[in-house]
Formats: sequence, structure tokens, C-alpha cells
Amino acid sequence: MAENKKILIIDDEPDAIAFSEAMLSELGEFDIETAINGLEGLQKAEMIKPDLIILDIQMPVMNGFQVFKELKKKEATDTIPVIMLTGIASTTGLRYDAKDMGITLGSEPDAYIDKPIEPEEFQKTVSSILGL
Amino acid sequence: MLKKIDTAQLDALLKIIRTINSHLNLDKVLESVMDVTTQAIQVEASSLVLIDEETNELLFHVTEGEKAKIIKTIRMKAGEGIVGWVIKEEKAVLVNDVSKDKRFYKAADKKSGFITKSILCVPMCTADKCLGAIEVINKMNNEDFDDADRIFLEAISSQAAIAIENAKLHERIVKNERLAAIGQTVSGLAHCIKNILNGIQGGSYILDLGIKKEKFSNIDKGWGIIKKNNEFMKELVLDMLSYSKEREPEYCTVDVNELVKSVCELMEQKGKEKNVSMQFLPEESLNEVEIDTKGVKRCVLNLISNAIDACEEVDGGSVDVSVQNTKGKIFRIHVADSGIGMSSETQAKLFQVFFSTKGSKGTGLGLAVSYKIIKEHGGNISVDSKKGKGTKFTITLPKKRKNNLLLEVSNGRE
Repeated sequence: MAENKKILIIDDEPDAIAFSEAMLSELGEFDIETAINGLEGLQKAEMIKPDLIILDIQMPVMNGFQVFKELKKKEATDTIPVIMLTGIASTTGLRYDAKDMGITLGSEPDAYIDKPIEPEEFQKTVSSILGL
Repeated sequence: MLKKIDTAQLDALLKIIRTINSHLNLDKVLESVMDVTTQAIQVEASSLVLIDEETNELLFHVTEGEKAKIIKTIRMKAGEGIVGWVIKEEKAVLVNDVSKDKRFYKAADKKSGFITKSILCVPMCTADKCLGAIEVINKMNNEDFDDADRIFLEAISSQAAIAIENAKLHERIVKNERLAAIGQTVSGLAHCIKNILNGIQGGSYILDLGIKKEKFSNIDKGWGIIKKNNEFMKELVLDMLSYSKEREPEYCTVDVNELVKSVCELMEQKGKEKNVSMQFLPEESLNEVEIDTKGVKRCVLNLISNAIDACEEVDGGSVDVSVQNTKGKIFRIHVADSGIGMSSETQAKLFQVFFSTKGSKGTGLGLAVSYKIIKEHGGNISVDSKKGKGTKFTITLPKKRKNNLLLEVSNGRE
């Protein structure tokens, strides 16, 4: 029997983690790990080498962009697909990504998903990245 | 040879320059300019004409003289009349007998009943465009206009053009600042609402899942998240209203120790959940102060809640709350924590609206609202923080309502 895919959720908000977990539970069986801050997230990413990381942008101390940059720096984590969740609002009505915020990431995340998250969009993105 | 400009005219020019430099209200400035001009050249009537950029018509923006009110209602097409010619050609015109000048616009006299005999009209231009013109009509005692009058009027006209340009620039700056402030507020607010909506979306999803799978724990969890976010939304709206409204504190006499103690009790559970210990040191002599109970309670709650959050990632974090009396007219409430502390950059932005270091948990309104409430009391909030060591907030407040005292707490006077 094939092993379950491993997903790491890095988010400072337990309710948001619960939301992601609930949406994933509808897609199938996964081994889900969670981290409530960037530092813990980086350690877990290196340790468990997940198939996908779901990363919130707005977190205290170390934000999602900083975590993303660190992930891309390390050989053990640089190929792990990343979905970034953003709640940052733009007055133009468009989604704010790293470029809009004047942040140079080097490489782009596999997807940005805007808050409030549409479960269908979230599930479709995860399925496509994991090849489900 | 030109006659010399007389002292009265120089005096008038000086008056106009001073008015332009000391007032920002353009209409008042232009009215004053025309008033002084009419008296200095001694004419029966005068007008300051502007080009309406939208309709391309000539508007009598300021009018002086007997028929001023009627003249003000007249609209002329660009290029029409002597004034139209002056604006179009950007050249001054001196006509001592208008009946012999084909450019003269007779309809204005017909409508107003005024009889124009002579006109001196000069363009009002900046370096790159003509904004309008100033005209003076019928010199007193049937005298003729001469070149000295023209030079004087041209000097006034160039000053008026500067005043108009300055006012337009000021208006543009204010408009841009206002738009930038609105943009920032809207984006900050949208960010908060998006996070709350995400909570509601998440809660509903988990609740639905619970119903579908008949799993009570999911129903309970989802419903809990929805309720929590409903509270967040309520707090956000209240904070926005408190922040946007100018208000006077609703004073009542209270024992400040009781007030702070009740907040500490409210926060005790949050402290326990995050392994943060809390101590309160009262000050018995402060049993009667005049403050807005609800407002100050909100500030103290905010500071203690922030202090607990700051200790979350620190082992054995503690929050010390104390009340301090002074010999003077003020007292202080201190909230000190042994948390992560703040960088100088964070401290500089601390009371800015929508600034938060708490990720999706913070609205960035709490401290801004607290600061406003304390300022409304005539008090102050100060902060002393070291990164990695902890933070101490001090609220300084007058013991009596600010109307009764002339206190300058923010300057450190007691």
C-alpha cells in the first residue's frame, strides 16, 4: 500500500490550521504536521521533508516570506512545493504577492491563495500540486 | 516719461504681498487683493476674472463696485471682450474711451446698468500659463489710466497669480494626503475583515463537515470559531468607531485599584493558558480618581493582553501590573512584561493605526485606540522596551477631569 502524502501546515492561528486540515480531509488521507511559527516550521520541514507546505504569510516574528526564502536556501527543502496563504489587502482589489510588497523571493511559490479561502480553490490547487 | 508709483500704491502692494503670504483661504486673499487695488488706483469698479478650465468660460470671480453682484453672474466666452483678448494675447490693455474699442463687450453694461468709460486690464499669468486677468474700470474724477497704473496693476496681478498657484498646490497636496490616508485605512481595514471572513469561512466549513459526517466535535469546533470571529468583528467595528470619532471621556469617580484588579482577573485565564504569571500591586491612596471607566479599562485590558502575548514564546514569562500615585495631579498605571521586547523600528510605529506584529491575530487598532482614549483624558502612554528583555508601558493620567485642571502630562509636569 502506498504511503500517505505528507503535508506541513505552518500557521500561527490554530483555527486557520483547523480549516486547512478540514479541507484536506475531504481530499483524502494525508499525514499532516503543523507548526505554529516560522522557526518550528523550518525545523519540521527539514526533518519530515513533506510533499507540500501550506504557509501563512502573516505570522509574528518570522513571516511567511522569510520562511519561504529560508526553505529555498536549503538543499533538503528547496524543492518542496509551497502554497502561500495571504490575507494582505490591496486597494486595487488585486491580490498582493511578494512582488507587490517589494519583496524579492528569488523563486516564486507554487501558488498563492487569497483569504477568505474558497475551499474549492484550495482543494483544486492541492490536488494539482500533489497529482491527486 | 512715467510718473513715479506713489507711496499709497507701494503701501497697497506691500499689504497685498503680506496678505498672500499669511492666508491660505484663496477666496479671502483674492477679495482682499481686489479691495486694496480698487482703493489704491481709485476706480469705480474692478474684477478678477478666471478661466473656467471645464467650460472654457470667463468667470468674474471677485467683483468690486456698485454693480458687483450683477457683474458676478455674467459669463463670457473665452476671447470675448477686452478681458478675453487680454487673456488670449497675454498682454495688458489700457483703453481710456471704450466706445472707440471694438473689443469692448457691451452686453455687460446692458445687463448691469453700469456705464463703462475706461478700462485697464492686465493678464494674470504664471511662468507657463495664463490663469485670468484683473481689470479696473473708470478711474475716479474722470482721470485717465496711465502707464504707472498699468505697471502697478501688473505687479498686483503677478502676486495674485502666485497666490492662486499656491492655493492650487496646497489643495493638491491636501487631496493627495487625504487619498493616501484613505487608501491606507481601507487596505488596513480590508486586511482585518479578510482575516475575520477567513475565520467565519473556516468555521462554517468545519461545521458543515460535522453535520455531513455527524461528528459532534466538528460541529462544536466550527460553531466556536464562528462565534469567536463574530466577536472579533464586533471589536473591530467598536475600535473603528472609537478611533474615528472625536469624543469627550465620560468621567466618573472610581477606585483605580478596583478597575485594574478587575482587568487582571479578566486576563488571568489567558495568562494561565499561555503559562504567563501575573502580579498586581495596588496603591491604596488612589481610591478616587476621575476617569472614563470604560475607556481606561479598555486600554489596560489591551496592554495586559499584549503583555501576555509578548511572553508567549518566553519560558517563565511574567506580567507585572501596578498603580502609582504622585504628589502632583497625576497618577500612573504600569504594565511590564518579561517578553520578547521590541525593536526601535517597532516602537516607532507602535501607535500607528493598523500596525501589528501579531500576524493574523492583530487588528493593529488596539494600541492606536488606547493612545487616543488616554490623549482624550489629557494623559499620555509611554513605552520602554528592550529586544529580548521585555517591555514596560506606562499610562499617565490626571487624577481629576482635564477640564478642571491645566495639566500638561505629556510634558512630564506634575
